Formats: sequence, C-alpha cells, structure tokens
Amino acid sequence: MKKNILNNLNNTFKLSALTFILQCFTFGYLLAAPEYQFLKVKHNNLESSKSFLSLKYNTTSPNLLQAVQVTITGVITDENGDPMPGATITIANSTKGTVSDIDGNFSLEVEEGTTLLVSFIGYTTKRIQVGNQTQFKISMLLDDTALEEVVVVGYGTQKKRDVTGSVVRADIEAFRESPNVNIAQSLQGSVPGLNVGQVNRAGQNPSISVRGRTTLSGNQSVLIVVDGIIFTGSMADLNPADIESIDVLKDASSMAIFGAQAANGVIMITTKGGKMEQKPIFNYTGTVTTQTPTHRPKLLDRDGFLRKVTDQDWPQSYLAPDYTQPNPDYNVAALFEPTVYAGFENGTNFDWWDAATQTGLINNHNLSIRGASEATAYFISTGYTKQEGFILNDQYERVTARINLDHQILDWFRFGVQTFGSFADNSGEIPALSQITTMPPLVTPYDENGNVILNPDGAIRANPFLSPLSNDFDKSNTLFANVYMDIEIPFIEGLKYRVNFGNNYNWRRHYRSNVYGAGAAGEAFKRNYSKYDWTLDNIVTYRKSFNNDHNLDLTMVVGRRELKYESTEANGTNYSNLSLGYNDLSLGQLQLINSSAWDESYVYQTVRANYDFSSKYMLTATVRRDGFSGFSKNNKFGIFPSLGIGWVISEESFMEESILSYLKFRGSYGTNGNLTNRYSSLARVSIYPAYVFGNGGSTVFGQTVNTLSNSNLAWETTTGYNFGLDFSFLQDRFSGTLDYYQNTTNDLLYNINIPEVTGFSSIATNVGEIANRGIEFVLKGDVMEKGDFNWNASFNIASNRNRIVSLLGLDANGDGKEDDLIGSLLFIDESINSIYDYESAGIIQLGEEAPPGFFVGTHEVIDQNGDGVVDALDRVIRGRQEPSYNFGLLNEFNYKNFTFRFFINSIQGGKNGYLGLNNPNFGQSDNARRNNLFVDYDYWTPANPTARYRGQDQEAGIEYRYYGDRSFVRLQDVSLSYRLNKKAIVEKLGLQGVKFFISGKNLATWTSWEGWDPETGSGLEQSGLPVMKGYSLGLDVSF
Amino acid sequence: MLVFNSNLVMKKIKYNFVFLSLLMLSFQACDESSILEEIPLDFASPENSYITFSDFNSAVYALYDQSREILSNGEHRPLDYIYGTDLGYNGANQLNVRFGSYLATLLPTSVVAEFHWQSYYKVISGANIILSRLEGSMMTAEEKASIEAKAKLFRGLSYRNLAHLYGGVPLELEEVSSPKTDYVRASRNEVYQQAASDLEFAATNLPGIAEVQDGEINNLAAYHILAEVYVSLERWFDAIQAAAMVIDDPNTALMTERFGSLSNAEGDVYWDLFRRYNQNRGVGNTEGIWVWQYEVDVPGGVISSSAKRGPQLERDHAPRPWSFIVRDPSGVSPFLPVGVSDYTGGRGIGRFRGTNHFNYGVWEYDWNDMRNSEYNFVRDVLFNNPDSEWYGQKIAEHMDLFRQSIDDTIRYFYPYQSKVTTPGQHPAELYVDAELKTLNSSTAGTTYSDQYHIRLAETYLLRAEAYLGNSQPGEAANDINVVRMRANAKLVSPSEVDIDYILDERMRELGVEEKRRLTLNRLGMLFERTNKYCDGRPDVTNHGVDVQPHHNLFPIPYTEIERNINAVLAQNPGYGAD
Repeated sequence: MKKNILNNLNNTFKLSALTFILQCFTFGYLLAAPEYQFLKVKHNNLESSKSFLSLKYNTTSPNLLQAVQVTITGVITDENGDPMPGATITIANSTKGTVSDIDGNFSLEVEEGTTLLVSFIGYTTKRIQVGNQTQFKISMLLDDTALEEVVVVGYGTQKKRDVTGSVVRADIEAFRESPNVNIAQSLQGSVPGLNVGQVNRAGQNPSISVRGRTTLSGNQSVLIVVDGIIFTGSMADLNPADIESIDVLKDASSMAIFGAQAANGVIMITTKGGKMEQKPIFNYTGTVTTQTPTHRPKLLDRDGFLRKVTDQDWPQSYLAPDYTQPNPDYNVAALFEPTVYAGFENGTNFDWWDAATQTGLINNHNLSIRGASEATAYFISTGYTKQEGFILNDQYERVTARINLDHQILDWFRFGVQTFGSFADNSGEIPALSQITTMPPLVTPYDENGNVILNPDGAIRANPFLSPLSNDFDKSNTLFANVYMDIEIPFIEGLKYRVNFGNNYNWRRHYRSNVYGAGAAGEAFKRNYSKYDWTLDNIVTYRKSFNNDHNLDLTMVVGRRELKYESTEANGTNYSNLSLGYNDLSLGQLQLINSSAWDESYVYQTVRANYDFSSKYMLTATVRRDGFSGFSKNNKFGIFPSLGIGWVISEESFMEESILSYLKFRGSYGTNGNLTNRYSSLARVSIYPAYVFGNGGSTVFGQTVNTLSNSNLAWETTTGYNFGLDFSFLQDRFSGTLDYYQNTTNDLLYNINIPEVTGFSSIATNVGEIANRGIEFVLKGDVMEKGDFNWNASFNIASNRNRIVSLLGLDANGDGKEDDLIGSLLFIDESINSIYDYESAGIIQLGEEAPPGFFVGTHEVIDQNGDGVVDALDRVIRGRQEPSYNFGLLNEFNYKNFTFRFFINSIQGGKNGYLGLNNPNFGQSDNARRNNLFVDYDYWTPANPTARYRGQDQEAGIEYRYYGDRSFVRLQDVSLSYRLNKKAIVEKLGLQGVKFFISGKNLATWTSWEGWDPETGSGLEQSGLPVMKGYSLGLDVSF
Repeated sequence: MLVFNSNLVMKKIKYNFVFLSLLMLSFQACDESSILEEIPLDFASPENSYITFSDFNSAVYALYDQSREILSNGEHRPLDYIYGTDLGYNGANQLNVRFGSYLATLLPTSVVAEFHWQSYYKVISGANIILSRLEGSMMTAEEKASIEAKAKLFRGLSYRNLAHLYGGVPLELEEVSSPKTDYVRASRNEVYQQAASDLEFAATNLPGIAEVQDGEINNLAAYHILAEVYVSLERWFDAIQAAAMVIDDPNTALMTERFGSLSNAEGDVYWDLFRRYNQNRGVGNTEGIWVWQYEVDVPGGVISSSAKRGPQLERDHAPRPWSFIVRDPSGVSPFLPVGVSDYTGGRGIGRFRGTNHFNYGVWEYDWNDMRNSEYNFVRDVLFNNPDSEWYGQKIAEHMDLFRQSIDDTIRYFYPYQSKVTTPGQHPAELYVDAELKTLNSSTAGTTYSDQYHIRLAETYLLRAEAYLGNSQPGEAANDINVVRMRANAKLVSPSEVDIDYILDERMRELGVEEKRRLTLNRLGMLFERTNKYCDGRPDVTNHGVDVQPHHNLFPIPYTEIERNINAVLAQNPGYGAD
C-alpha cells in the first residue's frame, strides 16, 4: 500500500518536475512589470553597475542644494587598519551615498547634522553623526554575529539571517596558520556536530561525519560539494589556501536539496574568486613545519626484552611456590634461535624504532593572484606542499594549481570556470611497522657488511627494511573543472537560469619494483586506476519581492551524474633481473594481469522555495526526487521532502525591551535518503583461477555465487527535525546558537547475518530503525576590549546519542520485547556500536583453580547467567564506542599588531562511552618469545598479580578483552602572528601586507588512554602510528 | 534609443527561445530507467552464468578448490584433522589453538567449529545451485547427468564429513534465494542416508578412473566415499560391495615396484609414493584414487615459489633442528641456522609432534616394516653445517647433548614421516644458497607435491573394517595383509584383527596423510584413542590435551545458533549448560 502511494507520488512528481519549469516561466510573465518598466529597471541597473564599477557615485544633484552643505572626506579601514575599498556610505533616510575607493577614501556632500551609515558585507554597520567635523577616520569591525553572513546552502546562497535549518560556517580563518596539509584538519573540533578524525600518515584524509551515525551499513561518508558540484575526489587534493569558505549543512531540511546522498551531512566548500578590486593582489604564504610524535610508546631494550622472556618462562625462571625468587638454573637464552642467540651473546641492543623514524618536515608554499576588471573576476593560484613524514619513506608531495574565472559577457549573461589540478606524489614504501615494533633488540637488520638480512631473527617474518628498498612510484592526479553559465531571463525580473557542468577526473599510477619483493623472489608491478565523474545541473532560480514585505526565492534543479572507474594491473614476480625495474615487467617469470571497472548513475530533480515575510517569518520547502542505479530494479527512485520555518522573535514589538538584541527561532523537518553500495542488490558470480589438473597442467577457472540477490533492496531514509535558536545579547557583543535535533532512520541498509547453512553469511537487506538525537551549542563573543587589547572567544559543545529502535520486529522468545539481533551485534535500545563482550572476574592467580579452558595468568570470565558454564551467553553490553560529547574552545587575543590564538579540542566518553579496544594480542609460545613489547604493556606474572593483561605464556579459550577510555583534551592549535603596519610597508616597500607567524599543532594531550593516540583509537598496537606534533614558522605577504 | 532597446529585446527573445528549448530537451532526453539500469562490468550474474556445459564445469571446478581448501590446502584448518588425536599433538606451548587443550580450543565460539561447518555448507550450496539450475540449462541429457553426478559427489562428501564431525546437521538440498533462518538438525543417520543417496548417483554416473584426467573425480572415488558412509550406517554388505568396486577395478593396484621421479635414488616403493610429481596416474601410479592437485606457480595450482601457500605438512610436522643452539666443541653450530632441503625436514617448525604411540608404539608389532624405514620414518639425521667439525655425523652420536630440555625432543628433533617434505626437491627459487640448499625462512614450509585424498591402500583398510563389522575377520585380515605385504611387514592373523588393530594399521599406512579426526569421530573413538595415546606437552599448566567424551563431536558453531532466529539449532551435549 505504502509502496503504491510512493510510486504514484513518484509519477506525479515526474510530471510536476516537467511542468514546474513551464509554470515558473508563466508565473514570472504574469508578475512581470510592463515592458517599459522592465527597460527602466534595466536601465537603472546598467547605470548603477556602471557607477559601481567606477567606484564613485556622482551625487551632485542641483535640487538638493538648499540646506547648509558641507563636503566631508574620510578613510575607511578594516579590522586590521587596512584601507577598505567598496564600503558603502549612505546618508540616513535618503538614497544618497557613495562608495569608498581603492584606498578606502571617500568624499560626500552632506547637510550638517545628518547621520551617515557605513556598511560592508560581513561588517557591523556604523552610524556616524556629522557635526562640524569634516575629516573622518572610520574603522569597521567584523560582524561577529555574522547574521549578514551569506552561507552556501546548495544550488545557491542564503543570508544566514534567513536560514531555517542548521547551517554552520566553519571558522577556517582561525586555522590558516596551522600546518594543516588537508583542509579537513582545519575543521577538527571547531564546528559542533561535525566530527573530523585525526590523521597519522602523510597526506592522509581524516574521517568525517556529521551528527552521529545514521546508518548501519549504508554509505557513511559526508557529501562534499565543491563550488556546487558533488566532489568525489579526495579532500587531500584541495589546496587549503584556495578555500574561501566552508559551510556545513547539518539538519534534514538543509540537506534535503541533495536528497539521497545527504543523509550523512553535507560540507559545502567554496573556493576563492576575484573580488571587486581594481588591481590584482598577489599573495604569497609559506610555512615550514617540524613533525615529531605527540606520544611515542617506548619499546623494551635489550635488558627489558630479556626480562620479558624471563617473565614468560615464569614456571621455569622463578622458584616455586610463589615464583617471585629467580631460579639460578634458568637460562634465558635456552630457547633462542641461533641468530637471536648470537645477538644475546655479543651484546646487541638495536633500536628498530629509531632506525625506522626521523624528524618529519612539512614545507608549504602558496602563491595566488586575485582581482577583477570591469567584467572579469579571477583567482589564480598555485601551491606546493612537501611532507617528509616521521616514518621513514612516509612522504607526500602535492602541487596544486587553480584558475577561477568569472566573466560577464553581456549584462544578462555570465559564464565562468572553477578549475583545479592537483598532482600528488605518495611514492615510497614505509617499513613494515608491525615488524619494526616486534623485532627483538638482540638482532639487527643489516649484517657487518651492511647487507640487508632476509630474516633477522631467523623466523618466518621478513626484515621490515626490505619494503623501503623498493623503487616505488605512486602518483595521483586530479583535474576538476566546473564550467557554468548564468543567464538572466529577459522579461521576467529575478528569473535566472544556470548550467553547471562539473568534471572530475582522477588517475593514479602505482608502480613498484623490489628485488626483495614476493618473498625475495623479486616483484614488480604497474597498476593504473582512473576515475571520472561528471555532473550536469540545470538550475532555475526566481527571486521576487512583493510589496517589500513578501520575498520569494524559488530554486529548481534538474540534473544527472555519472561515475566511472577502471583499473588495470600488470603484476610480475620471480625476477632474476630487476635492473629495469617496473619498466620491463616482461622479465618476470610469473605474470599476472588484473582489471576491474564499475559505473554508477544518478538522475534527480529538486525544487526549493524560500519565502520570507518582512524578514520576520521565513519558510523553506524542498522536495527532491532521486534516482540511483545502485538500488534494486523495483526501487530505483526515492522522494525526499522537507520543510523549515524561521521566526525572528526579536523583530516583534514585545521584544523591544529584551536584553537579547537578536533572537530567532528555527524549526525544520525533512527526509533524506542514503545510498547503498553499487551492485549490492545483485547476486555476484565470481570467476577465478580454481584448479590445475595433472602434472604440468594449465589453469581451469571456477565460478561461485558469492552474494544473494535482493530485488527489493530499497532506500534507507532518514527523517529528522531540528529546532534551533540564534541569539545575541549585550549589543551583539555575544552571540550564539542552540540546536536540538532528532533523526530517525528507517529501512536501514544492512548486511544481516544469516545461517551459513544457506551457503552465504549475509544478505543485503532493509531492517528496522535507528534514532539519533543531539544538542549543539555555540557561544562566541568579545570577552574583553581595552584600548589596543582585544580578546574574543568561541566555544562549542555537541552531544549525540544513537539508539536502535527496532530491527526485524520479531519476538521469538515471547517476552513482549522485540528481539535483539545478537548474531549481527545489534541490540534494541542500545547504541549502534555497542561493545558486547565478556567481563573479567580477575586474573587467575597462582594456587587458584582455573575453570575449564582457563589457566593461571589468564583472565577468568564472569558467568553472567550463572548456569555454571562460561560461554557466548555470558557476554554483556560493556559500553559503547560513541562518545558522550565533544567541545572546542577557540581564544583569540589581539594586541596592536599581534594576534595570539589557541584552540582546545576535546572528546569525552562520559559513562561507558568512547571506549576503544586496547587489547593487543602478543600471542603465546615461541611467537611471543620472539616479539618485542612496549614498555607500557602491563602483563601478568606471579610478581605482578594486578596486571591489566594476561600473562605471556598462555591464552584462554575465551579471552577477556580490555577496552580503554579514549576521552581526551588536546591543545590542538596555537598560533602567534605579527602583522607589519600597513602604512610603513606601503610607503617603504610598496607592499599590501606582511604577516609573520609561528604556530604549534597538537602540543599537548591529556588522556588516560594508553598507546599511540586516543583520537585515532590506536592503543598498544604493533603497527600503530603516532599523531604528529608540529611547530611551524610562516610568512604571508600581499603585494 | 528606443530602437536600440527593442532590438535588444528581440535578440533576447531569440536567445530566450533557444535556452528554453535546450532546457526542455535536457529534461526530455532522459530515459531514466535506461540510465539507471545496473549492468555489472567486472563480474557475472547467476542468470547468465549457468547456461552451458562449460559454465557448469566451472561451477564444479570451484567445488574442487573449495574442498581442497578444507581438507588439504593451508596451515591451519586442514591440520585440525590431525592435531589432538592419537596421531599427534601441538608441540608448541599453545593451549587454546591446535587442540593444545581441548577445553580451550574446541568451543562453540571457536574458529575450528565455525570453519568446517561454513566451508562444507559453502560446497553444499555450490552443489545445490548447480543441481537446481540443471533444468534451465542448455545442456544435453548426457551432460546434465555428468554434471549432476559431479555435484552430488561433492555434496555427498560434504554431508558425510559434516555428519562425522558434528553428528546430525540441517539438510539443505535446494538453492537458497532468500534469507532462511529456521533450520533444524536432521539425525546423523538421516544425514548419512542423504550422503549415500547422492554418492550412489555419483558412483553410477561418474566415468571410470581411466577415462578422466589426473586429479578428476571418478566412479571409484565415489564408491570409496560411499563405502565409508555404508560403514557408518553399518550396512556392512553394501560397504564391502562398494569397496570391492574400487579394489577390483582393473585400473587400480597397489604400487609394489620402485617408480617415478626419484626411482633411482636410495629409497623404497613406499617412499616413491610421496616424492614430487609421483602421485598421479600419468606417472604410472595406480594407487591414487583421488589426488588433490597442486602446481607450483600456476594460477589455481596454489603453491608458490614466492610465498608460503598450499599444504603445510612440512611446516607443521617436520622438526626444526635449525633452531638448536647446541654447539660443537669449537663453538660452531652443527646445523645450519636456517631450514635445509634435506632429511632434517626442510623448513619445519616442529609443531605437530607425533604421539609416542605413533612414533614408537605402532611399530613394535614389526619394527622392520617398510613404512618405518629410515627413508619413511626419519629418526636420525646428519649434521648439515659444513663448517662444523661434526659435519656428516648423526644426532644419535651426540644424543645426550640434545636432551637438555623438553623442547629438544618435542620440537627440535623427533621421528617424523618423510612424506611431508621433499628433500632436494624444493622449488629452485626457495634456495637462498643453492649449494647448501638453505631455504628462505619466509616462504618455505609447504609440502611441494600433490596430496592423496583417497589412496587404494585405505580402501583395503576400509573394507577390512566392513568385514570386521560383518563378522568376517578372515577377510578383514586378508585385506590388511595386502597392505602389509607391500610393506614387507609381518602378516596379521584374523584373531588379532579388531578395530584398534585397524586404527593402528591406518596409522602405519596413512599416518599424517589421513584425516584422522574423521575416522575417529565416525567410530565414536576420538575420546578413547586420544585419551589413551595423546599426552600433549608434559610441562603445560593442564597436563595432556584434556580431551573429554563429548569431544567425539564438534560443537555446533554458536554463531550459527545465534543467526538461526526462527528455530532452535540444538547444541551437542557437553558444550553448554545442561
């Protein structure tokens, strides 16, 4: 029944999508003024734009020369004391005014006693009373409340003031001086509800999510939109210096315009363009940054290693009965293999970790030119980043180039491109880290002649320094271009048509050769991957005001996207000669080729209407219809409606006496979809080389059905509401935002586990419902302002909880409560990432009797159900992986030309939250004996009965696992900058501005987590990586 | 002025029209359903992959590969069939893996219980898909029958092994196309009967052993497996008949003369059976009924010269004298410190230590048995480090020095079956030093030869079991003696033949080649024999492998019980609260 309605809706929508545009035109025609009016308006526009471009108003008008006229002059400066061109100076209650010129100067004839209004977008409007003074120095202040700020909302922009949903502009300016190779790092912790993960590899992309996890196994990535085009590339390919602004769409209603792909939030990235300035501004910024680990778990040295082996052998190495007195007859080296034994005898104490690491360095240089001529605005930039990582061979190099052009051909026709190329080099193979941290310090990677040793400890594992010896070439290139065309449709004022044609092409070449590859038989390969996607959006917008009070803004989009991928791999092993490396793969005795390809398509239509009544009441309504190839035959399309309202309460008369200078209520409700993986509704048959019959026979291919099909696999939909308050008080000195939201996701895409008797382990299906709810709060303001000193701060805090509401709707055990899906680790009323595991009853000590399957020195597991047997029924929910809340605090101090900033980021688990598995398994028996350990690894021995981890000698049949609290507080960014006085420079050097800065990244972390880093969740992991601490030195020059 | 403006207007109307038309076109041009139709580019779908004879053969080849994966290929799971039995135990000091302790290894949540269940059902599912798609195919009746017989052989084999391991299991005989979660266990007897019916069809319809290529399944393989199912069903007469089909086939015979790749080297015919390249009929071996095929460095052939892949009997069962730290009087190690391709066991790690019963006990009956010859059951080796003054001498000459710790005899050196290794026949790429024949520690350890799945000698021993069950000890003794005669061993008299004697004889003839756990489980004797003969390491916390009577069956995997939400899959007794 529901399906039928949806289908009908679908068809109806299709029709209305087609007819809407026609209606748009008709409506527009009806409302349009008569032709002469249109011409007049046009004429005015032409004139005003002409005047604007000449940046001077000719205001001399003879019939105004009656009262006492004075000519006033002045200079307008920005918050840095730099001249501000383009500021508007108007006389209150009149249409008379002017615009400041390139040097910030203006002159205006006014009557005495009038009031001047000085305004500029993004700045607080100043009121100036004209007395007998004729010279003015007006310094403008940034509008902290940012209500006039324009935010990017998807297929358009909107004044922040008019937004009904939850849209946040990230403060990327505050992090410009941080050594962030990836722009996403500048978002870390500073936007409530946006969760950006930590990185620990050069050039790595952090994980990004918005407002908790709304899906189980649907797509979890945030939708990234660059200059209006959905960006499928890597965030690492964007040069942070090119980015003008980042807006985050968080609630269902603002995301709804992107429908099916938006359930995980949307990040709108806008790159820089030309500004209304006469002459070009060149800008150079450069930084040099050091990289050292924030925390480095120490490895045992020789003595520690021998002590560890002795501890493992406690039944032999210590004396009964209490095994704390050393056994004089014990020989720690008795079971060492000959190579380890040799190292034991000759006193070797080699630090593998030191040999695999170095002090990292990031070099970053950016050069850009931006400006605008009468008709053309441009931004051209190039950037170079070179990161030499802390781990040997972990390097990253990136060259970017961008050209953004916007050209007004005719007064009603504009076109432009936003285009960039990014050329990244990830070449170089790092040492095998899990081997680095576990090789015994008694052996070395090289022999006395400096030759690399294949198996340093004589066991199966290869020398970790074999991989850095490879000749590894790994380059990724991205070309992106959005070509657009803007047309103002004649006769209908406010009707515009825009076409975006976005192209994103990425190709990666990964080539490698290593004589020590493939178990030292020699390996080489060439692998090519390429990905191309295109987007074609037809966007019609219509803006109209009626009677000054009613403002209507309609947007309609009809579009298509397609993504294509292909790969080709040529692999060779068993080379007797690798002198030509990967350039002659044919010398390999064994050659294997591979290829793969996929394709996915989207078709969509969307309509949004924004209506506002006298800037007091706002309404936003959006409907999107989305089609995605990845869904099953019967469910290709989904429809996603939403509605938002806004009410500026402070505009009401009863609020006049309030201490709140601004108060706005927002409320929204909407639905979004989520994508499944392409091809997931189809059954897959995999064909592979399966068998060879007879001696010297050739390969026969086998085929198996790998997945079950589900022809009813349908859209997962997230429906949510958001209530928010925007407020400011104390004359706009403080402002803030409070949001509460709840999202419910239905028909969750999930690979539900099924009995393997079927031959399959899972099937992609739609199940149940999960709910996310949360609260977000931001407060910012000027804490103190005293003469040349100014302190402002911004604080944000966000909390999100998710809960599984329903699954299969089964109650097989008849207890009146819906059954959990334990087989898939999903529990009703618990969070998605619940930790369902055994609890420890403590480590079994000497003299205690171990239950069946457990041993002295292992954790005993609590028999939760008391049935006398410890088994899978004794698992309980021990907590969850999701945090309880996170907060960020940015402080900025300005004193004269100095600016000092620091930013604190924190994620807190609360009770049983934000738990991370920190239970490295160092094995037992001879593998444990060979492995080196971290100093912090707290293992059991008879002399250390209260250890966290079991003893080294045995593992129980059911292992208790330790989860640690990942909560942390981090001093994430610190910067100090000094700006040279503009005047001094302009006069002496002919420059526009010079800024020096030093900054620090991740300088301190407070946490109880043990291991590499709480934020990456990497504990005492053998192959873990540290998070980097950096100090950088930078220069920013404009001329 | 006005003229100019109206010109402009006219021009604009014109443009307008063009844009409008373009816009309309861009909406109408979309045939949405064709744009969104999903056509996979790099994988096939079942609808177009089960049509021709060749398609179906491909599906059958996958079953070969999957079965090889369970029973032969790999370091871990195929060896579940021998660790912790009367054959041997985990010599490494590990209790929760490889049956070091049954109580810590064999749990409903352990991977041992899960792997075999899942893998056999994967084979069954593959066979079911083949069988259910026969009707819609474009094959001739003859081709259909051939494919049906092959699929049924694999399904029958899988159900037989499931019943051996787990007892009664759910019977699924159809292609599953929707998530089914209401399975219940059939009885063990029902499962055996299902296996018998599949195998009867296979035995009748599969081609003879001389008509198939090396390594392919044939009617004799089906008869052998069927005979074992009949034994399990105590249908003695049928079992004897089925086994006779194999034994009496003119194309099979035990090998009695030297043959194959190293027939001129020192050794004997039993030794020849296990040298590289010697397992297939193509080289004149008439004893192999079904041989798992391996090929070095050929896709599908599994074994690699650049990575450790394939059957890992060498790694697990061969000892590791290379890790001794004993020195000769001048301080030089008498063994090279890395694995060597000689009788010291290649790149063994000394983990599967034979029980004393296997190493010594079973040979008391006749120590001069060929299968216990110095070639086949290696009990002493020569030092292989040319720099040592002891080079060329034997361990036995310095035995006391090597008996300093438990590990010396449990892991560093112990008697082992040479069939697990290929002295001098390791692939050339593995040699770090070609002269010394030292092996790459990271990549060596595989048994670089084809592996018998069914060998005629076993068929004799199986028929002996059936005769014994049918109270015909004379015939049983005759069958056993065929095998013993080839080994020049003392013959057995009918009065000596009982099930324990047959189990001992299987040890002597098959040793680590046998999937011992299947045999012991089907006889319900795993506990009895293991408890009696398998001590495990004497130095670990819980002495022995602490096997319990309920270990005669594997536990039903807990994950399977958990996922089967619409019915109860009963657990085997002993694995949970009562």
